[in-house]
Parts: sequence; C-alpha cells; structure tokens
Amino acid sequence: MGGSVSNLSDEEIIHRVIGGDVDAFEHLLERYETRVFGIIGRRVPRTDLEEVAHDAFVRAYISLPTYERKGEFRSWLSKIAVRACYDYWRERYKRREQPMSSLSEEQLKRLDRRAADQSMRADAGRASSREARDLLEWAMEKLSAEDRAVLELVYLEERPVKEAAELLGWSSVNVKVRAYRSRKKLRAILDGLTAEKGGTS
Amino acid sequence: MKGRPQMLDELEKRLFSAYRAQEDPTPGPLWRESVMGDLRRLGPLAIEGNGAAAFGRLAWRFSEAAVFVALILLVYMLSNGFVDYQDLAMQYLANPIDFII
Repeated sequence: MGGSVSNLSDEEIIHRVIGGDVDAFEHLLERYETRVFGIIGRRVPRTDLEEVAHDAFVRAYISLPTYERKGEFRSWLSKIAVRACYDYWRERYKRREQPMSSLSEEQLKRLDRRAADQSMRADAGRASSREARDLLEWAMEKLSAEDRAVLELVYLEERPVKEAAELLGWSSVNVKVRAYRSRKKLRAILDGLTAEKGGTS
Repeated sequence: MKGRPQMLDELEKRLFSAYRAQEDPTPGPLWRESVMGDLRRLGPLAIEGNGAAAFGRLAWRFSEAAVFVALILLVYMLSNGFVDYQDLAMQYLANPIDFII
C-alpha cells in the first residue's frame, strides 16, 4: 500500500475508491477492521466472526456510492456492522435445525446441573467469566434477532437509545419499547431456567 | 436472605459484566487479503457508481418533463372535459353492435 494514500482522510480515500481505485479501500479496511471486529466479535460466535466481518466490509464497499458525507464514515460503517450481525442472527434463526448454542453437550449438561442447584444464582458470582458468557449466550439464543440486537446495544453495551436507534435504523420509541420487552424476556428465561430445574430436581 | 428479583438482578449484572469484559478480537493474518481479493473480483465501483448516478440524473431530468406533460394534460382535460372510459366500455359491452363513439 502506498504511503501517500495512508495519509489521506477517509473522505479522500472514499473519493478514490468511488473513482475506481479498489486498492485504496484497503486503507479503510486497515483503519477500521479493529473497530468492526470489536462490534461483531461481541455479537456473533467467534467461529463466524471473520465471515461476518468480511461480509460487512464487502457491503460497505458496495454501498460506498450511497455514503453521504453528512456523518462520520466510522458511524456509517458501524451501522453496517451492526446490521450484518442482525442479518446473521435472522439467517441463523431461520436455519433452526443447526444447534443454536455454541455450547458443547457437556457444557449444557453442566449448566443444567448448575441450574438444578438452587444456589446457582449465588454461585454465578464464582463462575468463570467464560461460563457467564456461555450462559448469557444460551439465554440470548432464545430471543428473536430483533430482541437480541436491541438488548445488546441498549443494556449490554449501554449505548444511548438515540445511538441504538440510528444503528438499527429504528425509531427511538421503538428501541425503548423493544429494549424493555427484550430485557423482560431475558429475565424470564434466566428465571425460568432455575425455577424449572429447581422444581423438577 | 435475598428475594428472587434481587438474585436475578445480581445474576443479570454478572452476565452483563462478563459480556462487557470480553476482549476485542483481532483479524487473522490472511483475513484482510481475503476481503481485498473479493473486492478486486467485484471490480471498481466507478462503472456501477457512475451508472447509477447517471441514471439518477436522467430520471430527475425526465421528472421535470413528466411534470410539464402532466400539467398540459390537466389543462387540456379541464378545458375539454373528461372521457369516462369505464362508461364507454360499459356501453360497448351492453350493446356492441350499435356502439358509436
């Protein structure tokens, strides 16, 4: 990659890419891959991360002529990354025949055993971060793609409603309502897990 | 002893913290090359981008002409009256032999 291009602003690089210089896009890739991996890495399983990030950058490249220079390129790209994740989950939910969770059978059994134990909630504090992540992932896979997307933005990443609305392309009211409902659903899933297992054991 | 909602709050808090504590992943060494390979296969945006832009400009130019023609037709119709084609069709269907415009 030429050093002269790497000194250019995003706008100038975009101008070059739209003008037919495909290689100039590599500078945008280099600048923003960490950011995009950060967004996507929290939302999709690690096994599919590179594929979804790849898809997001291809989408960004194709949509570049529609990029309006009103906002920052970074925000525009983040929007594409969030939507790529949302589409990933929608697609994945359609193919329900695949095991949804990345948890192994053994891990699921372990979680079930933990859930059966009434002390699970208190024990969660001692559980490793990895196990907590697995449990959260397991519970979130029971939500719809929309619920999942809004929950991640508003509660897990604590982004302002306005920003979440922009990233998802929804209205702020819709984000507020959906976020509230999806959190309620998540709590019901977590609550049901222990209550059900505790009741049957 | 804590109640269920409090315990659930605590669990939720721990799960959310675990989510936030994740380390940001980094792409593998060949990843960028694979993206660029795909983009090179797609080719430059120039043709597609300029084509779309040219189409947009053309559509807007025609939109002015379309509005102009629509206004002329409106003036014409207001001054000469409307022809109700549905009525004409009904008349034709009712009596095709004696139908005269």
